[in-house]
Amino acid sequence: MKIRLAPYIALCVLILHLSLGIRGLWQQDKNIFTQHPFSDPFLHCVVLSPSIEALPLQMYRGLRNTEFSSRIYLELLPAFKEGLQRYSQNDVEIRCTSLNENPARHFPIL
Amino acid sequence: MTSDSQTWSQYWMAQGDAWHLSIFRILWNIFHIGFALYILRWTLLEFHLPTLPYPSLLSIFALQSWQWTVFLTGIHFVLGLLLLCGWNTRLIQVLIALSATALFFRTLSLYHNHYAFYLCITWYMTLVSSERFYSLDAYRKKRLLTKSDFSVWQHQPVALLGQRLILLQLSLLYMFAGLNKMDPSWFVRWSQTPELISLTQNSFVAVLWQYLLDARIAWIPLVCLIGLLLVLSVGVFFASRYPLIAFVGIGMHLIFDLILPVISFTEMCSIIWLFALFPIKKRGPLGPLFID
Repeated sequence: MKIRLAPYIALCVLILHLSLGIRGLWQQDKNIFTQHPFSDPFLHCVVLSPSIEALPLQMYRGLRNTEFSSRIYLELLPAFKEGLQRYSQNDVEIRCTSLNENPARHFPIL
Repeated sequence: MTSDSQTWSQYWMAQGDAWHLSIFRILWNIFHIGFALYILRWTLLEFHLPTLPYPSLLSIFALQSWQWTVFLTGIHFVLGLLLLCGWNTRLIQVLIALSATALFFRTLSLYHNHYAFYLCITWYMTLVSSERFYSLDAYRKKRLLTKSDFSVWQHQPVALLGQRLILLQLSLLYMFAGLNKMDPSWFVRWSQTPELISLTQNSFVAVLWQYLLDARIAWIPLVCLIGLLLVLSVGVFFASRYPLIAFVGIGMHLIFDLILPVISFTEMCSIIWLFALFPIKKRGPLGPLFID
């Protein structure tokens, strides 16, 4: 039974992952927060809140400061903001700038 | 068209020896244990923070408390050990895939690309008959059956669907990695990552890179990398016939790992490349013509 279903299972897996992959490629550069994980951008971010001291000392993924540079957390930043918002009950904003905007950090590749 | 669909069906319905499936079960266990430790560590570090639900139906996993998650992590770890021993292997493979799913989707804050890959492979493993060698299941069977019957059971061809889905996953990963790198802006963004900046501080790489830039041929290794990824995305299905492809794949990951280490990724892909070598297919006397 399983053997007979095998080609259909494979087809479903292929369609699912092709859709996810194409969606990732399509969205790249259109919305900075939904980029494909392979895009690896690098940002400098600052967490802003009227009562910054109310935020937990240790935030998600071990971020210890309200100011950080990272590429790992890019897709997660909107979620981090929501989480911190619920924790602090204050307006929380995570403001990020791409290091593209900082020529000093740019390393020529092409 | 009919012939194409027949070829497609035959490929996915193929059967083969089970020895390599058992070896893969043992090797993949590294990542079950690693995943359990990863989730445990971060759950304990983030227990005071709200969980960050995944969208839509997956948000149901965010209902798990951190205490339950720690408990489930312990279960996942024990399931990993049971799978290593091969005790009720097929059932444990399903249970470990379920526990991995619950742990992975509990909170978005612990999302990790490589563990998403791990999760896919772990699910495909539920379709793999990996209990025939080096397992307590095989030991139990050996005691129940005569020597010849046991040998027949052990060497009976099994479905290769699970293995081929694992290869498909690796193939898609390479394909999209290659396609994504075709966008020049990818390199512009990537050129600012801390990893690449530290790489260029390596004395050998910095000199080589400067030479390539001066000679205006820095694009050559980048284009080669894209080409290699796309070739490997097809080549992974032919590694059992041309073992060289697997060694090129492993070599690529080892080079990546030497210069830009990425958590568990080299180990995961190298083990899958070794897996892709089996079941070994003999080449015919004329080289490119094969005996199936």
